[in-house]
Formats: sequence, C-alpha cells, structure tokens
Amino acid sequence: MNRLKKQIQWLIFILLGSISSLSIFYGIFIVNNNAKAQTLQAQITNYHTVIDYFNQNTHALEHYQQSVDSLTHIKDSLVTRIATEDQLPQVLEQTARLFQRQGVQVLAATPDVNRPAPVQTNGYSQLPLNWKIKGNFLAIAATLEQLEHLPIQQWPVTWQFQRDLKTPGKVLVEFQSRIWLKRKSNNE
Amino acid sequence: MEKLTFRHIAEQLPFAEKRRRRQDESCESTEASLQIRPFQWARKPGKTKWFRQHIVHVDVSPETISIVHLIKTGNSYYPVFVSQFSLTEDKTPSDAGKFIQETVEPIAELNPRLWVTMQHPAINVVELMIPKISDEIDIETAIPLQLQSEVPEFNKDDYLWQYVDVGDFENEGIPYYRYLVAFSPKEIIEQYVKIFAGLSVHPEIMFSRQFIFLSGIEAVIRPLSNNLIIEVGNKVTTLFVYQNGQAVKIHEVPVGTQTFKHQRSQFSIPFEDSDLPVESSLRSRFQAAKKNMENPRVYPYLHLVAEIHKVRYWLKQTIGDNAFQAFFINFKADEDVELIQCLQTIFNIPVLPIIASESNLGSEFNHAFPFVGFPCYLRKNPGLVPKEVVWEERLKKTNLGLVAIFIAVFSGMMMYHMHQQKHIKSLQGEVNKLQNTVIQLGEKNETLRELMIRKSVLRKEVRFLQNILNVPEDALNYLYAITQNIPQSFQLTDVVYESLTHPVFMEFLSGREDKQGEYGILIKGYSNLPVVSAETQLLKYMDVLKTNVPYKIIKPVERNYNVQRQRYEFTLFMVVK
Repeated sequence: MNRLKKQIQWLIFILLGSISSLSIFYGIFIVNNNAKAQTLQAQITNYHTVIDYFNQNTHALEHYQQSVDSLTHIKDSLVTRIATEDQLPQVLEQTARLFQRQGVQVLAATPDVNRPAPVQTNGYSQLPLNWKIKGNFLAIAATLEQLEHLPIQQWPVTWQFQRDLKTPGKVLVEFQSRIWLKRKSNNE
Repeated sequence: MEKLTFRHIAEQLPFAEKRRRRQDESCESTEASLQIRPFQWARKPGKTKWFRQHIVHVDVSPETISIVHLIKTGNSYYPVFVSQFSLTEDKTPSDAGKFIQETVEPIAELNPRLWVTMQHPAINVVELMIPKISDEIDIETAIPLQLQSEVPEFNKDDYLWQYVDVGDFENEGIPYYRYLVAFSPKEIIEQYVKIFAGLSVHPEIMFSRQFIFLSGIEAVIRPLSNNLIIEVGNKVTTLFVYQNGQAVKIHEVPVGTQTFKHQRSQFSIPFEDSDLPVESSLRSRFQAAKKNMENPRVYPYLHLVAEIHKVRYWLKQTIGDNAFQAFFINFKADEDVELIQCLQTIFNIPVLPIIASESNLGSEFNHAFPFVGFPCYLRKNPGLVPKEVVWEERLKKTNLGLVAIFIAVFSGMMMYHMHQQKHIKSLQGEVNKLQNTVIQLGEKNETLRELMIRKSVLRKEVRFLQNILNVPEDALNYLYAITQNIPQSFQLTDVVYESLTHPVFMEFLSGREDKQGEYGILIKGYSNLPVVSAETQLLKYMDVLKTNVPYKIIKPVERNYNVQRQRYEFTLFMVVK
C-alpha cells in the first residue's frame, strides 16, 4: 500500500512538475521568442518600406540636381542684373556711357540714396535715379528704351520733356529711373 | 553452437552408429531422431543497466527447491547463481519457507520478475480433447467446462489451471483440439504466494513443473516422430510421450534415482513378490523376462518398465498405435547406463541418452536449466498478483511513460527554442543589415531632401527675381503713344508723366482724388492752324490717346489762341489707370 501511495505521489509530482516546468519554459522562452521574432519581423517590414521609398527617391536625385543647377544658373543670371550698394558708381558710369554713345548730354545724375524706397522682401529695394539730360528727342527715346538692357537693369518711371528753346531740335528731359538694389543685411 | 552433445558414453553404445545415420536424414523422417536446437546463454550480462531484467525462478519439486537468479538482456539469459534446498524427511515446511525468504530477500530489492514452477501430488495433468465445432474456440471457457465434466473434483473457483496446445487430430472424421491441462487447488499455490508477498515479490508465472519440463525439453531438443522422453528425478520420473513430434501425454512415475538405489540394495527381493501396481498380465511377462536376464540388477527398474508398458497400452487404446521408435533418457550418472541397457533389452528399441555439455547451464546448474526462460506455453494468471500491486505496476509504467513524454516534450520545446533562437539571430542579422542600408540610403535621401528644399527655395527666388525684374513699360508706352500720334500741325513743348502727387498737377486737381499710386500726364503744345482746325485736330488727338492710353480722366485744361504768337495753344491733362 505504501508503494502504491509512493507511486501516486510520484504521479502527482510528475504531472505537476512537468506541467509547471513546461508552462514556465513556454511562458519564459517560447512566448518571449515569439514576441521578439514578431518585433523583428515588424522592423524588417518597416525597413523594407523605408528602403523602397528611398530607392524610388534615389532615382529622382539626378533630376533634382539638374533642376537645381538650372535654377541656380537662372538665379545667378538674374542676380547680376540687380545692383549692390557697392555697384552704384558702376551703374551711373554704365548709364552715362550709354547716353554718351547716343549723343545725349547728361546734365545731372542724382541717385536718391536718402529717399526711403519701398522695401521688398529678401532685402531687395528699388533705388530711384534722377537724371537730367539734353539731346535729340529720338536719341533720348532710344536711350530710354535701352536702359533696361544695361547689365544692371534700369527702367524709366516718370519723365518730363521740355523743348529747349535756346537750342532748336533739342529737348531737355528730366526723368526718374529705378534700379533694384540688394542691400547688405547684417548677417552678410 | 551445439549445446547438447552425445558424449563418449553414448558413442560407445551399440546403436550409436544407427542414431548418427538417422541424424543425417531429413527432419521429416519418421525414424526415431532428435533435432538439437541452438540455444544461447549470455556469458556476461549487458553493460547497460537500464535494460537489464532480473528474473528469479523458484522451482519446487518433491525432492528439492531450486532458486535461480538470472539477468535477462535482450533475448539472452545470464545466470547469476543457483541455490538448492533438499526436502529431506528431517526438513519442515517452515525450513523451506525460511530458505525461500533468505534467498529471495536480497534479490527482491532489484524488483525481479518471479517465475515459480511446482510439482506436487495435488497438481494433475490431463489430456483434454475438445470437438472442433468452429475455427474459433473460447479456450478460457471451454477448458474449465471440459475439466468439470471429466474431473469430478475440479471446481472453477477453487482451482487454478493451465494448458498446452498439443495439436489437432481426427477421430472417425470428427476433428478435435487436443490440450494438456494442468490444474491445482488454489491453497497449494497460495501458500507460496503468501511467502513471496511478504517479500513484496509477486509471481508472474506460477504453475506446473511438468509443463516447464515439457517446454524446457522442447526448447533445447525437438523430438521427431514417435518417441518417449524419460526424465529421471530423485524420487519421481516423468515420461513425455510424443506422437508424430507432438507431446500427447505426460506421465509421472513415483520412482527415481533414490528408489533405484534402495531397490538395488535389496535386489534379491523378487519383483513379482513386491506390492507394486503392475497388471497381472504383465507380471507373468516380467517373470519370464527375469528368467532370461543374465543381470539380476534389472529388478530395480521393473516398476518403471511397467509404467512404460501402461503408457504403450494407453496409446494403443486411444490413438491405436503403441510403437515407439526410440527412447530418450536424461543421463546424469554412470549408474543410469544400467537403466539404458535394461530398457533396451526389454523393449528392443534404441535408448539414447541426453547428456548436457559442460558449457551449458544444464551442467553448471544441474536440474535448473530446463525450467528457465521458456514461459511461452504458460497461461498467466492475473489472480495471483494483488490488485494494489497491479495498480502499482500500472502507475509505475504510467509514471515512466509520463516522464518519457515529459522528456520528449521538453526536448522538443528545447529544440523549438533553439530553432527560434536561430531564427531570431538570423532576423536580427537581417535587421542590422537593413539598418545599415537605411542609414546609407538616408544619407542619399538627405541629399535629395536638401536638393528638393534648395530647388523650392531657388524656384521661389527665381520667380521673385523674375517678377521684380519684369520691367513696367508704361512710361515708355505712354511716351510713344503721345509722341507718335501727334497731328502734323501740332508742336509739343512740354510733356510730363509723373505721379499725381507731383506739384505740376496741383492746379488741375480738385483735391478730392486719391493721388497716391496714380499717375498723370500733362501735354502742352501749340498749332499754327486756324482755331477751328486746330480744335478739330486736338479732339482727334484726344480720341487717339483715349485708344492708346488707359485713362481715367482726359480733358483739355487750357486751349486758346495766342494772339501775340499767333498760334493755337493747348494743355491736355490725363489721369491714367
């Protein structure tokens, strides 16, 4: 009877021991492993999505580089037509040379540096230039037309034509032109 | 390897040559012969302890109690020891019980299987013939019923029984099953069961020693055709009757080596005067035989001879044939040569001795060897083992099974865990690889992102610059519109295009207009035409200006004829949109 009891005790011990040890093993290792594997699998899927996205964008890299180069070139060409504060004498010189070539006499040239000009974004502002010239009407008209083709762009805004009574065939013209001026910011 | 050999004694017998010749013939020969079976005993037990099985065989005969401890590994048996206890007249049953207890107790700790064979006057063997009514017969039901009809004292509840199938036969066209059935009163068995129960050992097999003899003989030799095998014990001699190679009868004779010795000492006593149970017809034949015998020492064997005659008579009555082709006799001592010679003389049949070789268990352990390891004929009797023990064994097996299952499941889980670890490792490797790829691609993507931002900024800047550099051409357009459409007779003296805030426009404005951001045009000139013509031309000129200059207001603010200069002078004022 004692041996039978002993076997029953063994049976209970084996059942409880095996069930508990298997459960613990399953709970600690297998479940944990499954969770790890699932997390890693999700990471892999995520990485694949990111890589696919990157690969698609990589093909556009060259295209974007070309666009940027082109736009940079355009911008550079446009920027050269805008004067900096250092270039004001150069602007006056170029304009005077233009008048001279057309046989127009420059009587006065006054950049209105003190006059507050409407400030545009990005530090660009218009700078008025007041001119007083004398010459043939057609030459003056042609000159005014060519102002915008100067390396630093300039355009007439207002004008006053007056016949020169002392010199027949000549007109006195007072006009105001403007250029774009890039003001230096404090950071530059 | 032949374990049983005929020794030189057998070789010297006159019929040895004949026997050798018969051995060379086919097994199917109807001549008297023995076919010796290979029989393997292990020299050493297996090293693997887990697969060893301890067996204790207790053989209870009228003369001795033999206890053999064996180790079984696979199909091999290794004898550990044999212990014998002689049941002489001075020994009591309690001495025998003590011997069993002392011998088995140390082995009981090894949890051995216990086989018990018994020979007892109360254990009987009978031959049963059951008509073959159907192919499938319920032996467990049929044999007790048949026993009850043939043996009046047999009671199913008070007796235990076992059987040996000895083949089918036909009698007058009716097929029969033939069984040798041993049966014993329960109390005979139970007294031994009690002894073993005290040692916590329970017999697995327990029964007829005759059957064990039979199975032991058949395990090592295979009698062919019609033979008689004589097993001579100390007090009992057992006759095994074989017909056509099948055992048909086991007959016990209450004489043995001791009887022979005793009678040899009194050989002067005439057999016919003895009170031995011999039929009267035979008695006269023995008397005749006695006269012809040169050796008077044949007397001691006459009882055995008479019993052999009985067996032959029984054979003739039941089977119709009483001819034996040969006798086989176990040969233990030189004195038995006399018995062999006696039987050969009386029956005129070859009598062959079976002698165990030195190398087999039979020589080492004497009588014990035929009894061990051959329980195939025996019917297990579950009633011998207490229920608690049966349950204990079942639980033990269940526990072992559960442990095995647990180990298997745990191993499986371990393997699965290792497989998972490997999988996780490979996944981790893949993640690291992808991470590096993403970092590399991220750098490229950063460049791309920067390019995209730069492009956007540049586009914005370019648009801005294009916008601001898109020169307003109003001033020149108005100049051309004013100067190119002048009537031929008109001369312009002053042309002004200025903001309305300019002082030149002050006198023409009411002061209510919003001057900020608006421009005005002032045209002064003259014409030498007559007034009406000049006026007409002026109006036409105004119409042209209206067409070419987007205006809000256009009006002549001054026009008069300057008498002093004799010309028509005019001033036009316009507010452009």
